[in-house]
Amino acid sequence: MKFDAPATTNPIDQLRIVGQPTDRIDGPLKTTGRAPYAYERYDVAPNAAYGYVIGSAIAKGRILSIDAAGAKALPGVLAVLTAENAGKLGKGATNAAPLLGGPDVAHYHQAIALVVAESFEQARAGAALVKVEYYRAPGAFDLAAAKDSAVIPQIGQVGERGWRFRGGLRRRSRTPR
Amino acid sequence: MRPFTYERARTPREAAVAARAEGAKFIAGGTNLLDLMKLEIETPTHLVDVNGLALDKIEPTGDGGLRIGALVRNTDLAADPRVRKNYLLLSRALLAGASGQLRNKATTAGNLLQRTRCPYFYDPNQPCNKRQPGSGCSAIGGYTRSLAVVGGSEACIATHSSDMAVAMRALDAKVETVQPDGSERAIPIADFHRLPGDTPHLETALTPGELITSVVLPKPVGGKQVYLKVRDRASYAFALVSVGAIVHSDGTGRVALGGVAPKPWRDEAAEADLPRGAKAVTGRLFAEAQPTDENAFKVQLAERTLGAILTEARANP
Amino acid sequence: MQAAFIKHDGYQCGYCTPGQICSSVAMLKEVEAGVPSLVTDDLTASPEASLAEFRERMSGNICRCGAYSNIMEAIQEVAGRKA
Repeated sequence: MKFDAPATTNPIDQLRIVGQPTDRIDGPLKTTGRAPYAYERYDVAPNAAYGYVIGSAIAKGRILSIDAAGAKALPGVLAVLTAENAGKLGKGATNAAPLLGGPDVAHYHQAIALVVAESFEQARAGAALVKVEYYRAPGAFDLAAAKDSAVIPQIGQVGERGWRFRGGLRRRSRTPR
Repeated sequence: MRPFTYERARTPREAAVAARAEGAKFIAGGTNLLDLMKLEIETPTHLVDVNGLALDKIEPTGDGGLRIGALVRNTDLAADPRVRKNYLLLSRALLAGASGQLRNKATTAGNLLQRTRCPYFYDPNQPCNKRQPGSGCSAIGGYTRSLAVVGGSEACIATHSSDMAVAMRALDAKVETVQPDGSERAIPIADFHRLPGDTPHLETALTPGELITSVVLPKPVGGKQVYLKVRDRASYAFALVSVGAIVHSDGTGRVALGGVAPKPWRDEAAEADLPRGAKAVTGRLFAEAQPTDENAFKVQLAERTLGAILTEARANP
Repeated sequence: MQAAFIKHDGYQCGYCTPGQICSSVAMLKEVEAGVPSLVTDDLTASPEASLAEFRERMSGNICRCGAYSNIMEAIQEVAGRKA
């Protein structure tokens, strides 16, 4: 868009809508506790179930087994989803790790199972009963210890996720572009 | 949350008897216990609700002191005119703790009994000698910024998070209790909280079923009473270091530290050095300190905080 | 207080709003009743209805959307009206 002609008046200049401190239409609902959030839309999603996420207890390694029998036996628990039974799992464009980890674990507290139940409390109680066995692999968690092996990227170098390195703080140009 | 049974005790003795059973716990405000139950760090099988007991008064004692009922809420204790006038340190410490909502529900006894906020205590994936005696301490060698620099052991370096307890320690409070057999005793606050040693899971001197009925303060000692809490945020955060001090015009006084140890940290012998300045006092208080790289700052922070209090006290007695 | 929140747009997603409103109303009553806070300078006197007092007393209500400045405006308006 080129700004090469003087601006003339336009509808926004009348300040009838834009520029007025109009009350938000959801205001009365939110200030009276009546605004329905997604999981309160019983009209369109009746009888919703609740999920409770189980995070990996290790930072790196493999899940050897998940024993969900205790959880499944609890009243109200409908299912325990894991990478094994959840079907094909994708990964969002901006995710670094699969959203249900397994068998490989990518990071501490990575979601590795979802307990689904009729109430939140039942799902949470079920999660406490799921027994997970892990192989814990050695990992690198100490930046200070790894410092000597750090590699300084080249300017213009493109990294794993397609981002280009334009320079560290010290090397940035001091004049605004 | 695991299933549990629940009863409302009608008398302190009845409550003590009910709580003596294995797996039973008292509940009053619930501001610590309920959180821990939801995380299944505490798993009582029976709750003894003591809210209905008539332990919510603040009354003078025969010798000019004050008897504070176990169920007095933190807000009410801090706002009581007698506390504000004669035990200002206690008001200031209480007001520095938690949020208005929490202070309105939290009780005097519950505040003393609150458990540590050590992040490894809170993470069931990590070994913890408080949660599972003998399993090890994950905090040692881990992230220790908020943990103890003194008073810890090879089994545990957790801190006690209460501000009120620091003031109570400086004020020489006594904790009055009743046991299931009806006998009563008064435990000096200095002996109430245990150091971890080999048994970090044993945190107080209380025996099974023993119910705190009140906390007694001796007659007022006067002086300039200040509680300074130093933390990452201006409110709603635990102390990195706190200093509760009573300073008299002749330079003598008392000092108790929070945020640095498994219990409020005071040494009456170190207080004799108050006229010589903050460094002399904290030098003695931290003589046995074993700080880590991450929490060593607490030693200097405590010294400077106490120094600031002493400077201000000299300028505005 | 509810009307003030609407007027000053003291919310975005609205999830914390009921709690903010309940706490604001109760908090102002506590100030009026003389309940002290961390920032009350003189504990032998009544607390002031100041911005510093409001901020400290509302610190138990967290807003992930960051509507704090508008929440404070709503509270100040109601407090001013009451004074």
